[in-house]
Amino acid sequence: MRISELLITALMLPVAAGAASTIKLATLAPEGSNWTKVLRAIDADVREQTDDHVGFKIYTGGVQGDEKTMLRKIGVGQLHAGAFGGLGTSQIVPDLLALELPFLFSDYGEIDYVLDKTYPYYESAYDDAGFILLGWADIGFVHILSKRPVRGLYDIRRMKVWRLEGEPITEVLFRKANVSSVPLIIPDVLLGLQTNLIEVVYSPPAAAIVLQWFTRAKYLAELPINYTLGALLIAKKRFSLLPPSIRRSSATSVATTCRRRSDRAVPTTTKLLKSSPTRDWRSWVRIPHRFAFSRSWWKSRFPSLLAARSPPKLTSW
Amino acid sequence: MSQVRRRLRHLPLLSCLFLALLIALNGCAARLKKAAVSSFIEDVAKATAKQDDVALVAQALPTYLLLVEGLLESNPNDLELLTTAAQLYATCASIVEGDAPKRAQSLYARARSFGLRALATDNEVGGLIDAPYVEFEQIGGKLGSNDLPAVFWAASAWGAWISVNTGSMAALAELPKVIYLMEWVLKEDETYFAGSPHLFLGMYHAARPPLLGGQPDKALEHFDAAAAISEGQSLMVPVQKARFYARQTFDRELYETLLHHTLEQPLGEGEFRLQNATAKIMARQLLKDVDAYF
Repeated sequence: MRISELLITALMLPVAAGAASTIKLATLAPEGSNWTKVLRAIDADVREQTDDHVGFKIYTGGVQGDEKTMLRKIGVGQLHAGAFGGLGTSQIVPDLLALELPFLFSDYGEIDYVLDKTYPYYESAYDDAGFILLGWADIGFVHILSKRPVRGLYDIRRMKVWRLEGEPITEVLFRKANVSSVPLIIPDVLLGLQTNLIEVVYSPPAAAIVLQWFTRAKYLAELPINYTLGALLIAKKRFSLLPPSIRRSSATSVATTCRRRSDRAVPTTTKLLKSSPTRDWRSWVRIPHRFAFSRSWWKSRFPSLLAARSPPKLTSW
Repeated sequence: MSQVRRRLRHLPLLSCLFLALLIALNGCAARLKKAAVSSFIEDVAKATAKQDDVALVAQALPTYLLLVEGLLESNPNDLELLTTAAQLYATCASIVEGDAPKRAQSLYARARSFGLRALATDNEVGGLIDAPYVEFEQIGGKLGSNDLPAVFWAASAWGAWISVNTGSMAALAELPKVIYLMEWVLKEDETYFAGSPHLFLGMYHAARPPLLGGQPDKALEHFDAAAAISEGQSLMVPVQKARFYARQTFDRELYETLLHHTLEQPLGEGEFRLQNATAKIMARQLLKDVDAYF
């Protein structure tokens, strides 16, 4: 290489680095929420460690569209990363749904154990799909909120139950349990509760507060139904910009900060609503634990699910 | 010794009389003070609104706050004073929010507590403030048009307090009550405080993404109504529209247009002067941050 070429390359380098140094990240979480606070903290950390060469541009409150749109934009390179809730994370790696099976976990001890053991598996599954898993974000246990007390399956069968439109697992579960359900998208649920179109909803307590569903429910079932989690994912290509030390530290901070948030949400909702003690009605959907991570078990029960959820193609890279 | 005891026997009666007299005089003085100072407070509030030196107001307001708190010592349940205290603390907090968010947080907390105390001067209303939401909704039936200023300032202070405490689930859970109160104000008098109930609800509906219950269309209607009622004189309307609506709908052009428009407008001479000066400071900062949002 001639000296002039070297010079040109050297001159170009900062430009190239400058152009590639912003990692565009989107999330549905509103500005000011703990999720976005964690993201801003990670951003500050990355900037400090890279002398401001690398940083995040954070789009909060769903300004970049819903999680499906976010994934599409990541696919074409308009975005590079996302702090996803359950939908986006399982869209990329459907196996994640195994962690969200009803009655799989009863406390955070069990969750921590399983998340720890399965981390390498999911890390490589996301890697195969073109993403780096920076860390889990806790969304919390799903509880049932209702207008009348729900003590068991018997009560629920006599009430009008909400189901998330387009969500295949709940549809199958309700059908198998002989529960008739009303499919609605999330923004319509509050009105559904107000007009008595539905009497039973399910959600993590933090979401029930943010979405204001708790204002129209009277009872919160004690029994946690299933665990939900989100993930901070970044497209592989952009990940190389991050300093190596950031990876683990950001993962830990995402997990711990978000955990604190949902821990606080439970006592708040319990204070707001009467608790309805639930008898053991796990028999509703008894899924043997040993099947939870078996692909063939999932395939035989939920064939449409695995077909419908294919990871986004990152062709443009 | 016995003489002393005899005197002491009379003491309770004497001291009771003395005490009663003291209370009567004190109450009278307090009423006098309140009457005199009330009109003084009103004059200062008017003069403050016409100021354009935000820094000067930020420095002067604490003195004024102490004066109102002093008056509240002798009139702890005075609806007007409690409302004024909520208004002043909320105004002060909004001025310092940009530079000192922590301080704003504690000032908003005080504003909220004065606002709630103002509402609680009516026992029936007070009993409902902490009730579950379904019961809380009965509050509308207990409020009258006299309560309008108290409800408006309580809701404003309460809402602002939540907006600086979004990390707290307990705070977020109080938001539906604030919205209920502000909608009540809107129904009573949508033109109150130059259409501020519309401005408030516009910010609320634009703050959340549609997926989480946000309603940008409704937000736009409220912003437009607020602009119409204030006859375009309040520059806080375009600034908050840019900050919440343009950001939520990801409309960079609208964002920049609104903020540039704000900076080009005159401050005006009347009641909007201080608010407009604050709006201009916000607009400058928001324009500086444009690349972080879009």
